[in-house]
Amino acid sequence: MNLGIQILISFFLLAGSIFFLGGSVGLIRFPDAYSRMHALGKPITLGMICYLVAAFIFFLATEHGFDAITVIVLIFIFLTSPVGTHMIAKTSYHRATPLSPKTIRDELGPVMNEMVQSPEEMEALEKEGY
Amino acid sequence: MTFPFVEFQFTEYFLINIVLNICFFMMATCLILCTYRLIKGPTVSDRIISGDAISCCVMALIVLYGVMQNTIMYMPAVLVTALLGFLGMIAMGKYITNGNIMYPMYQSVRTSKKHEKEREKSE
Repeated sequence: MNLGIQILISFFLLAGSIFFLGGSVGLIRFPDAYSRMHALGKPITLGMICYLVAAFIFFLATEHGFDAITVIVLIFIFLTSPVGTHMIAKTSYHRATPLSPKTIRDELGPVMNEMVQSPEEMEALEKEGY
Repeated sequence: MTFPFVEFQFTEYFLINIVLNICFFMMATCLILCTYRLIKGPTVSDRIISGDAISCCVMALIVLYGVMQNTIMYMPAVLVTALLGFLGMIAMGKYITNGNIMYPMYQSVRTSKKHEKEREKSE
Protein backbone atom coordinates (compact mmCIF):
# COMPACT_ATOMS: atom_id res chain seq x y z
CA MET A 1 0.00 0.00 0.00
CA ASN A 2 1.63 3.24 -1.09
CA LEU A 3 1.19 6.67 0.46
CA GLY A 4 -1.49 7.88 -2.00
CA ILE A 5 -3.96 5.16 -1.04
CA GLN A 6 -3.23 5.78 2.63
CA ILE A 7 -4.01 9.47 2.17
CA LEU A 8 -7.27 8.58 0.36
CA ILE A 9 -8.38 6.22 3.14
CA SER A 10 -7.42 8.77 5.81
CA PHE A 11 -9.42 11.45 4.02
CA PHE A 12 -12.56 9.31 3.95
CA LEU A 13 -12.17 8.26 7.59
CA LEU A 14 -11.67 11.84 8.78
CA ALA A 15 -14.59 13.11 6.67
CA GLY A 16 -16.85 10.41 8.13
CA SER A 17 -15.77 11.28 11.67
CA ILE A 18 -16.46 14.97 11.14
CA PHE A 19 -19.89 14.22 9.66
CA PHE A 20 -20.70 11.95 12.60
CA LEU A 21 -19.60 14.56 15.12
CA GLY A 22 -21.64 17.26 13.38
CA GLY A 23 -24.71 15.06 13.35
CA SER A 24 -24.37 14.22 17.02
CA VAL A 25 -23.93 17.86 18.01
CA GLY A 26 -27.03 18.65 15.93
CA LEU A 27 -28.88 15.90 17.77
CA ILE A 28 -28.06 17.71 21.02
CA ARG A 29 -28.61 21.32 19.99
CA PHE A 30 -31.60 21.37 17.59
CA PRO A 31 -34.83 22.66 19.17
CA ASP A 32 -37.49 20.03 18.31
CA ALA A 33 -37.83 16.43 17.15
CA TYR A 34 -38.32 17.25 13.46
CA SER A 35 -35.07 19.17 13.12
CA ARG A 36 -33.31 16.40 15.04
CA MET A 37 -34.58 14.06 12.34
CA HIS A 38 -32.70 16.26 9.88
CA ALA A 39 -29.54 15.77 11.94
CA LEU A 40 -30.05 11.99 11.84
CA GLY A 41 -31.07 11.66 8.20
CA LYS A 42 -28.33 13.53 6.38
CA PRO A 43 -24.99 13.87 8.26
CA ILE A 44 -24.95 10.54 10.05
CA THR A 45 -25.90 8.60 6.90
CA LEU A 46 -23.23 10.43 4.91
CA GLY A 47 -20.66 9.72 7.63
CA MET A 48 -21.55 6.03 7.57
CA ILE A 49 -21.18 5.97 3.76
CA CYS A 50 -17.74 7.64 4.04
CA TYR A 51 -16.65 5.00 6.59
CA LEU A 52 -17.81 2.13 4.37
CA VAL A 53 -16.06 3.59 1.30
CA ALA A 54 -12.85 3.88 3.35
CA ALA A 55 -13.17 0.28 4.52
CA PHE A 56 -13.86 -0.87 0.95
CA ILE A 57 -10.72 0.88 -0.37
CA PHE A 58 -8.67 -0.51 2.53
CA PHE A 59 -9.77 -4.08 1.90
CA LEU A 60 -9.22 -3.61 -1.85
CA ALA A 61 -5.68 -2.38 -1.28
CA THR A 62 -4.71 -5.14 1.16
CA GLU A 63 -4.75 -8.87 0.48
CA HIS A 64 -8.53 -9.29 0.97
CA GLY A 65 -9.58 -7.98 -2.42
CA PHE A 66 -13.14 -7.11 -3.40
CA ASP A 67 -15.48 -7.26 -0.36
CA ALA A 68 -19.10 -7.55 -1.49
CA ILE A 69 -20.67 -7.25 1.99
CA THR A 70 -19.37 -3.69 2.36
CA VAL A 71 -21.08 -2.73 -0.91
CA ILE A 72 -24.30 -4.43 0.21
CA VAL A 73 -24.29 -2.55 3.53
CA LEU A 74 -23.61 0.72 1.70
CA ILE A 75 -26.57 0.26 -0.67
CA PHE A 76 -28.79 -0.88 2.22
CA ILE A 77 -28.04 2.19 4.33
CA PHE A 78 -28.44 4.46 1.32
CA LEU A 79 -31.93 3.06 0.70
CA THR A 80 -33.33 2.54 4.20
CA SER A 81 -32.23 5.65 6.11
CA PRO A 82 -34.66 8.07 4.34
CA VAL A 83 -37.48 5.55 4.66
CA GLY A 84 -37.03 5.27 8.43
CA THR A 85 -36.67 9.01 8.89
CA HIS A 86 -39.86 9.78 6.94
CA MET A 87 -41.69 7.08 8.88
CA ILE A 88 -40.70 8.60 12.23
CA ALA A 89 -41.58 12.09 11.00
CA LYS A 90 -45.10 10.98 10.02
CA THR A 91 -45.47 9.11 13.31
CA SER A 92 -44.42 12.17 15.32
CA TYR A 93 -46.94 14.33 13.51
CA HIS A 94 -49.73 11.81 14.14
CA ARG A 95 -48.84 11.81 17.83
CA ALA A 96 -49.01 15.65 17.87
CA THR A 97 -45.40 16.09 18.92
CA PRO A 98 -45.00 19.83 19.61
CA LEU A 99 -43.31 21.97 16.98
CA SER A 100 -40.63 24.46 17.90
CA PRO A 101 -41.93 28.02 18.47
CA LYS A 102 -39.48 29.16 15.77
CA THR A 103 -41.41 27.19 13.12
CA ILE A 104 -42.51 29.52 10.31
CA ARG A 105 -45.06 27.44 8.42
CA ASP A 106 -46.94 24.16 9.04
CA GLU A 107 -48.17 22.96 5.68
CA LEU A 108 -49.35 19.53 6.80
CA GLY A 109 -51.71 20.82 9.53
CA PRO A 110 -54.78 21.74 7.40
CA VAL A 111 -54.47 18.54 5.35
CA MET A 112 -54.33 16.44 8.49
CA ASN A 113 -57.34 18.19 9.99
CA GLU A 114 -59.44 17.28 6.94
CA MET A 115 -58.37 13.65 7.22
CA VAL A 116 -59.57 13.24 10.81
CA GLN A 117 -62.84 11.35 11.29
CA SER A 118 -65.99 12.98 12.60
CA PRO A 119 -66.60 12.95 16.39
CA GLU A 120 -69.25 10.20 16.16
CA GLU A 121 -66.88 7.89 14.32
CA MET A 122 -64.13 8.61 16.81
CA GLU A 123 -66.43 7.86 19.77
CA ALA A 124 -67.44 4.60 18.10
CA LEU A 125 -63.79 3.72 17.64
CA GLU A 126 -63.08 4.59 21.27
CA LYS A 127 -65.87 2.27 22.40
CA GLU A 128 -64.33 -0.52 20.34
CA GLY A 129 -61.08 0.04 22.19
CA TYR A 130 -58.80 1.67 19.58
CA MET B 1 5.13 6.12 15.29
CA THR B 2 1.79 6.78 16.96
CA PHE B 3 -0.53 9.62 17.77
CA PRO B 4 1.04 11.58 20.62
CA PHE B 5 -1.64 10.95 23.25
CA VAL B 6 -2.30 7.27 22.55
CA GLU B 7 0.22 4.48 22.81
CA PHE B 8 -1.49 1.79 20.72
CA GLN B 9 0.07 0.48 17.51
CA PHE B 10 -2.95 -0.55 15.44
CA THR B 11 -1.79 -1.29 11.89
CA GLU B 12 1.49 -1.43 10.01
CA TYR B 13 0.63 1.72 8.01
CA PHE B 14 1.60 4.75 10.02
CA LEU B 15 -0.79 7.33 8.51
CA ILE B 16 -3.85 5.08 8.97
CA ASN B 17 -2.60 4.44 12.49
CA ILE B 18 -2.80 8.12 13.41
CA VAL B 19 -6.20 8.52 11.76
CA LEU B 20 -7.62 5.46 13.53
CA ASN B 21 -6.64 6.93 16.89
CA ILE B 22 -8.47 10.17 16.09
CA CYS B 23 -11.51 8.31 14.70
CA PHE B 24 -11.96 6.08 17.74
CA PHE B 25 -11.84 9.15 19.99
CA MET B 26 -14.43 11.03 17.89
CA MET B 27 -16.77 8.03 17.66
CA ALA B 28 -16.69 7.64 21.44
CA THR B 29 -17.65 11.30 21.74
CA CYS B 30 -20.56 10.79 19.30
CA LEU B 31 -21.78 7.80 21.29
CA ILE B 32 -21.77 9.84 24.51
CA LEU B 33 -23.71 12.68 22.87
CA CYS B 34 -26.35 10.29 21.43
CA THR B 35 -26.72 8.59 24.81
CA TYR B 36 -27.33 11.98 26.42
CA ARG B 37 -30.20 12.62 23.98
CA LEU B 38 -31.53 9.09 24.55
CA ILE B 39 -31.76 9.69 28.31
CA LYS B 40 -32.94 13.30 28.30
CA GLY B 41 -35.13 13.41 25.15
CA PRO B 42 -38.48 15.04 25.98
CA THR B 43 -40.58 13.00 23.51
CA VAL B 44 -40.67 9.40 22.33
CA SER B 45 -39.58 10.42 18.82
CA ASP B 46 -36.31 11.83 20.17
CA ARG B 47 -35.56 8.53 21.85
CA ILE B 48 -36.23 6.55 18.66
CA ILE B 49 -34.03 8.92 16.64
CA SER B 50 -31.16 8.72 19.09
CA GLY B 51 -31.50 4.93 19.17
CA ASP B 52 -30.98 4.81 15.42
CA ALA B 53 -28.04 7.20 15.73
CA ILE B 54 -26.52 4.90 18.36
CA SER B 55 -26.89 1.92 16.02
CA CYS B 56 -25.09 3.93 13.31
CA CYS B 57 -22.28 4.76 15.77
CA VAL B 58 -21.93 1.09 16.70
CA MET B 59 -21.72 0.16 13.01
CA ALA B 60 -18.98 2.74 12.49
CA LEU B 61 -17.05 1.37 15.49
CA ILE B 62 -17.28 -2.17 14.09
CA VAL B 63 -15.99 -0.96 10.72
CA LEU B 64 -13.09 0.79 12.45
CA TYR B 65 -12.33 -2.36 14.43
CA GLY B 66 -12.26 -4.42 11.23
CA VAL B 67 -9.84 -1.97 9.62
CA MET B 68 -7.72 -2.03 12.79
CA GLN B 69 -7.51 -5.83 12.86
CA ASN B 70 -7.02 -6.01 9.06
CA THR B 71 -9.85 -8.53 8.58
CA ILE B 72 -13.20 -8.69 6.79
CA MET B 73 -14.65 -11.01 9.42
CA TYR B 74 -16.69 -8.25 11.10
CA MET B 75 -18.55 -6.93 8.05
CA PRO B 76 -21.55 -9.32 8.43
CA ALA B 77 -21.95 -7.91 11.94
CA VAL B 78 -22.27 -4.46 10.39
CA LEU B 79 -24.95 -5.80 8.01
CA VAL B 80 -26.94 -7.33 10.88
CA THR B 81 -26.68 -4.14 12.95
CA ALA B 82 -27.97 -2.07 10.01
CA LEU B 83 -30.92 -4.42 9.53
CA LEU B 84 -31.84 -4.45 13.21
CA GLY B 85 -31.59 -0.67 13.48
CA PHE B 86 -33.89 -0.11 10.50
CA LEU B 87 -36.45 -2.73 11.57
CA GLY B 88 -36.46 -1.47 15.15
CA MET B 89 -37.10 2.07 13.96
CA ILE B 90 -40.02 1.00 11.71
CA ALA B 91 -41.55 -1.24 14.38
CA MET B 92 -41.33 1.45 17.08
CA GLY B 93 -42.89 3.98 14.73
CA LYS B 94 -45.87 1.75 13.99
CA TYR B 95 -46.20 0.73 17.63
CA ILE B 96 -46.34 4.20 19.12
CA THR B 97 -48.87 5.28 16.47
CA ASN B 98 -51.32 2.37 16.53
CA GLY B 99 -50.64 0.44 19.71
CA ASN B 100 -49.92 -2.57 17.53
CA ILE B 101 -47.57 -3.47 14.69
CA MET B 102 -49.43 -5.79 12.32
CA TYR B 103 -52.66 -3.89 11.59
CA PRO B 104 -53.19 -0.71 9.54
CA MET B 105 -53.65 2.73 11.00
CA TYR B 106 -57.12 3.38 12.46
CA GLN B 107 -57.16 6.93 13.73
CA SER B 108 -54.97 9.87 14.41
CA VAL B 109 -54.34 11.37 17.84
CA ARG B 110 -54.44 14.86 16.37
CA THR B 111 -57.98 16.29 16.18
CA SER B 112 -59.12 19.46 14.49
CA LYS B 113 -60.20 22.55 16.39
CA LYS B 114 -63.51 22.56 14.49
CA HIS B 115 -64.39 19.10 15.78
CA GLU B 116 -63.39 20.06 19.30
CA LYS B 117 -65.79 23.05 19.18
CA GLU B 118 -68.63 20.84 17.88
CA ARG B 119 -67.99 18.44 20.73
CA GLU B 120 -68.11 21.21 23.32
CA LYS B 121 -71.42 22.48 21.88
CA SER B 122 -72.99 19.03 21.91
CA GLU B 123 -71.89 18.46 25.49
